[in-house]
Amino acid sequence: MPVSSRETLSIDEYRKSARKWFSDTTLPIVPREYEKQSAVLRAWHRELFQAGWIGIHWPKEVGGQGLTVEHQLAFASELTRARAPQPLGSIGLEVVGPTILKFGTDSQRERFIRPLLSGEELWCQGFSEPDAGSDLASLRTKGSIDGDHIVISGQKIWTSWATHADWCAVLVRTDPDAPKHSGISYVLVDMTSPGITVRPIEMLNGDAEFNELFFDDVRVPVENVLGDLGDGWNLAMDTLGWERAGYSIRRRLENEIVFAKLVEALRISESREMLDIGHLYVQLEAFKALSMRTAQRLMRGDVPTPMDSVDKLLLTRTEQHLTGTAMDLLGAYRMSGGGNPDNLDSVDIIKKFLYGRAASVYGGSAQIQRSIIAERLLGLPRGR
Amino acid sequence: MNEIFEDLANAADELLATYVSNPPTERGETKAGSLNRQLWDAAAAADWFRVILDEVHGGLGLGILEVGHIFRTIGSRLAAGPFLEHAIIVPMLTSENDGYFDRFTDARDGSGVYIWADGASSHTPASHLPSIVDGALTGTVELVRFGMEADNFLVVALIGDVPTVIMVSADAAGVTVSERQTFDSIGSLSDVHFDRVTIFEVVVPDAGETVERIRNVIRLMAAYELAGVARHLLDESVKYAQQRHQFGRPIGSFQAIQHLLADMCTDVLTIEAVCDEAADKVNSPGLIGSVQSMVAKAFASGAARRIGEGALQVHGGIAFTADCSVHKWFLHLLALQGFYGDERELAKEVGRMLLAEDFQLVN
Repeated sequence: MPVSSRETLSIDEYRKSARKWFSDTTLPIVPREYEKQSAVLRAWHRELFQAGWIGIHWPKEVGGQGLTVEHQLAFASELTRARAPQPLGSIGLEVVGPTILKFGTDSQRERFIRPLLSGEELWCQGFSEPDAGSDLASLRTKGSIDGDHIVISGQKIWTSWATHADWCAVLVRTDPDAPKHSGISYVLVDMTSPGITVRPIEMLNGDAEFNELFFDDVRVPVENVLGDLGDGWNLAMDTLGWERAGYSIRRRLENEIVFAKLVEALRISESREMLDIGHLYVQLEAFKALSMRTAQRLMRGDVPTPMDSVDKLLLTRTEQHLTGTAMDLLGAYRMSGGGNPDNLDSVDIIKKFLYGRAASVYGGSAQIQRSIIAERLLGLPRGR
Repeated sequence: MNEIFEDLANAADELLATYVSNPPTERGETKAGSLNRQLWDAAAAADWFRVILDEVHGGLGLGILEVGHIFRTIGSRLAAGPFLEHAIIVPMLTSENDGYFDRFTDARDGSGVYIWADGASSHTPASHLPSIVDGALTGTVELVRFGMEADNFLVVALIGDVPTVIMVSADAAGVTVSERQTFDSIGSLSDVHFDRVTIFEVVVPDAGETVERIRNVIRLMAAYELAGVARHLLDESVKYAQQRHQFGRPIGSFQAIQHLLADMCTDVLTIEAVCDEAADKVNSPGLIGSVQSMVAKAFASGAARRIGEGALQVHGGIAFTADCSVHKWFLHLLALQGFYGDERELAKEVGRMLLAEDFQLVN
């Protein structure tokens, strides 16, 4: 079915067309080693884009499909059902991209959105610094205006997927004399610019997803500043809102696949872990329910709001419940590769559990999220 | 704590401080590189393998409490080695079978490495333990710690349905040791296969009660080791909360972090208390000893897991990096959590025992 003709379909028919497409398509086999995953997932992203399944609710004029969030959710549920991997460019699609769409000039939208949707260009974020974690506003990476360039020097940390990224959304301090939250600018930086060094950080599960970025007098055209100079904090809050709320939806779908595989494996082994599976299912369904409301909120552009922190907390709880339970089901085999009585994929389970411990840290720690909810949603006095 | 006990615990800690780097360095590159030989020899020379051996046999004649505190320091220092076998299992077997005193000389001085292979460590059903039929031992024990280092295996096998403790040389015909991948930060894991092995010695025949007593003490020592790991994680987290500044002040001044650390502290103190309480009772007759050991291991497993996750949370992003050593204690506690039953498995078992008609709890 031609992509354009999907516009006239009802949501149910749209869902069915997605289901048919997945059943007719050979799914990629994703390598277990983190470093080998990128090439496969990048190609998959492009395939999805060419088939019209990326940017479903993004405007047509920027390369999207111009459909609704309901269409997006229908597709997402079919992708989960098919156990298909997500497109690779999640930072672009779900975190930085929406901010560019909202705050970009026409020429910035023209330049950046289509390659982001198609997967030609992958994005990363340069936000946190070694001394600016929870206290992001105290960031010190400098951006100095020099003619028609902005010159960036400093260091970022916890940048996911930087080794594969083409572009980076970097927060820099352009006015050191202004109050902390002012004087920050949001700059779109080409990762091939001279002066950028990427240093992967090995994680406790053996993968190296996170990176340090070093900027040594990196010259960036001043037209790559997104929004106004000095208005970067507002844009950063928009990006964080998308990271907490939008990315939660992606993680929910990935978690549902993990759960489905666990149930299948346990069914075959005749294990009787009914209570664990039941509890997990209830948790996942609850997260799904909240997630549906979040999707509507995002579509309305109702982000950032303190509700993003609720999404992030629930994602944290759900993901850690899921990955923790899966590991507990391994019993004594929990730290070992090789066989186990239920024939579970123990290496995958262990790695996901270890990675899951970061869910309460990235995008703002669980403690920060609780403070935001308490102060800004519940109106409680500012605490310490 | 009496003086001898304090001296012993402090001496053990000093020994480990000398021989175990902080943080422990990576496992050796060779397959058999999981044993720190310098530490091993020093521990043997310091009489660790004689602590609970009775004085008649030249031991120190001390009790479970004393050796428990050595295991606590093993946990806090993340020391690797089959200390359980040499400090606990071999002395207990020596008490069961006097004739084995000479046979175990090399166990006492550490020159021979004895490794315990018991399917119960991985919750293998009793009926699936290796069995001896017509004089030949056949079966597999999975998740054997330090299996690659063994000179001899002490195996819980079945003759019919009667548990028996036998000794098999690692070199005996029919014995194969295959290494397993492990995410634990120290030590090694393997599966040990017995294919019609005919050369072995029966150390304790009709060993049902003996094996239960040994398993009870093993669970308690694992709980003590968890207590040590947990204490280290709490101490490191408190230090970090004092040093790390955000928003112009130490993160330890924020109530959220304080509450998290307070919960961790509560758990650490409770694990320590539960272990010492169980140490008194673990050798009690009947099922009391079993229940006590299971309670200690169950509580320590669940609490240590919470403490480990809390420690990662307090350290924030750096906890996930290979550079920061906190994760090494976290990985090791996860391995200990499942060893001889985690809190869920043991809670079920305790529940089953308590609900059995003829079970009496004696205070």
